Amino acid sequence: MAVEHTLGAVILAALVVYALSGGADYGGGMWDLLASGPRALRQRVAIEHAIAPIWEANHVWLILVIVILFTAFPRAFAVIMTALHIPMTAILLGIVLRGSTFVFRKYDAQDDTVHRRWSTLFGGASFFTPFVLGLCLGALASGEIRVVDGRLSSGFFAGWTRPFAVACGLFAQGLFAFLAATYLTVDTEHEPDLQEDFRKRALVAGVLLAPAAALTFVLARDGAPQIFAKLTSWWAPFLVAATSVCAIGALMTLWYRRFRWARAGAVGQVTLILVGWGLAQYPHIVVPDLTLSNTATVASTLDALQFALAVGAVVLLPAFGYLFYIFKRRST
Amino acid sequence: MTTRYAFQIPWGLSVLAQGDAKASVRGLDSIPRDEWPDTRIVHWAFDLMVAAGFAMLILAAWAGWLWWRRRRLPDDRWLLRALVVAGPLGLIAIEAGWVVTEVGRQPWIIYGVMRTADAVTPMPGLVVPFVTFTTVYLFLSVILVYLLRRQFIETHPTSTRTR
Repeated sequence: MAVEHTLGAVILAALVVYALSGGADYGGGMWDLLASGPRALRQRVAIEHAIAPIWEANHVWLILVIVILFTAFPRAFAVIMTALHIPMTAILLGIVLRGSTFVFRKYDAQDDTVHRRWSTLFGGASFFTPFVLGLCLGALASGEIRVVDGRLSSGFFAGWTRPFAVACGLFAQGLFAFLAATYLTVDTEHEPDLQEDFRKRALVAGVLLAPAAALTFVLARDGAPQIFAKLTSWWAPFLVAATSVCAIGALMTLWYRRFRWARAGAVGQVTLILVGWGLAQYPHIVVPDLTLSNTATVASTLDALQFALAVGAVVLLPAFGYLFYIFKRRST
Repeated sequence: MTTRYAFQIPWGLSVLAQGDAKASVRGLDSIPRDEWPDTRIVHWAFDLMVAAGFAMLILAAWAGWLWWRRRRLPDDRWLLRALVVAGPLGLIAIEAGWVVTEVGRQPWIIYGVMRTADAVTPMPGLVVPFVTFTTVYLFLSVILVYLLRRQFIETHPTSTRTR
């Protein structure tokens, strides 16, 4: 496989890991804002305990995606950052606000009004950022961002203001909320009443994902025609079947309170959705003008990057695994 | 612009720039006028950076000398006052140094290859993100100072506030 295709696969893998880790962070923030009922404060505490040790490490994956993009595919990076300047700035602001309000909440006065003020900002940013992330991915898939003679010709609002991109944004919010709720059912094992709360939330989010997915699918026919056409490929039915198995499996295991299985199902579902999108988009980075091959940089840079990633993975992956192991293992 | 009261060190610039006392250093006057950065900003920023650096060095030397003479941690009131005033000097020196680098490289963004004007995004209305990000930074700084002060006041040994 040519080097640029390997790097494209690494980008997709990093995006998947970002969704599974950072996505759950966003979802946790959403549930923080939506905390309700007699145990609302305890829900917030549980979410904070779940997120606090790992949230900074999780968002490194997005940085990895962006760095590989501008190192290996600079022309695509230039086009994406110009065409999606507005939503990218919004994502930046959302991420900054999320991180800072999360920390300020911990270090400000601990009385309820102040806590609520920061929590509202934190929750709002947690809703907003995944939506805009979905907008950007939808815009890349839509085929509306056009490059003529190496320059962007479709302006600054193409792609991400259309219904298809909005559907992608809502879908991303739903996926992250579902993911976070299933993770939280496992994290609150020692508090059964909280676990029940998050089980209900996960069920609601999971069920709502079905119409969200259907809406995205229907809008893709006109909103992302090249991607939609790919769904007649030989691998598409297998992928859809596998995703459905994970989705239905996650819901059923949630219902029957087998929470670790539910978590695995949710992870599988999100992974397969993103991989499906990646396969449908391949080999384009920006449909239809920019591909992995025609935006790749010189071979020496690609080789050096590949080498650096291999070395980095040896250092990073065990450390990342250890981090999760320490903070997420069953406390005895 | 000429530097008045310049203190000239023979061969100094050649040694500093090329490591060889006989090397010739290309002057700004040999570069076309439209490729000059704003020399006033670069010059003053550089002076500020060096002055801040030397001020800190002198303070360190003074503190060291006091420790050597009195065999205890320096508690000279003037030194302590100077240390407080000199607190921001490190940040000032770093920022001034960045100004020297970034303004001094203009009008190039990649020296000799690409001009800044050619590299900037075609997106119009850049004042909006500029103001937005500046506001965000200001907001974060204010909150940070507020929270740090609160933390300090609450943990100060003579504080009578209970929490």
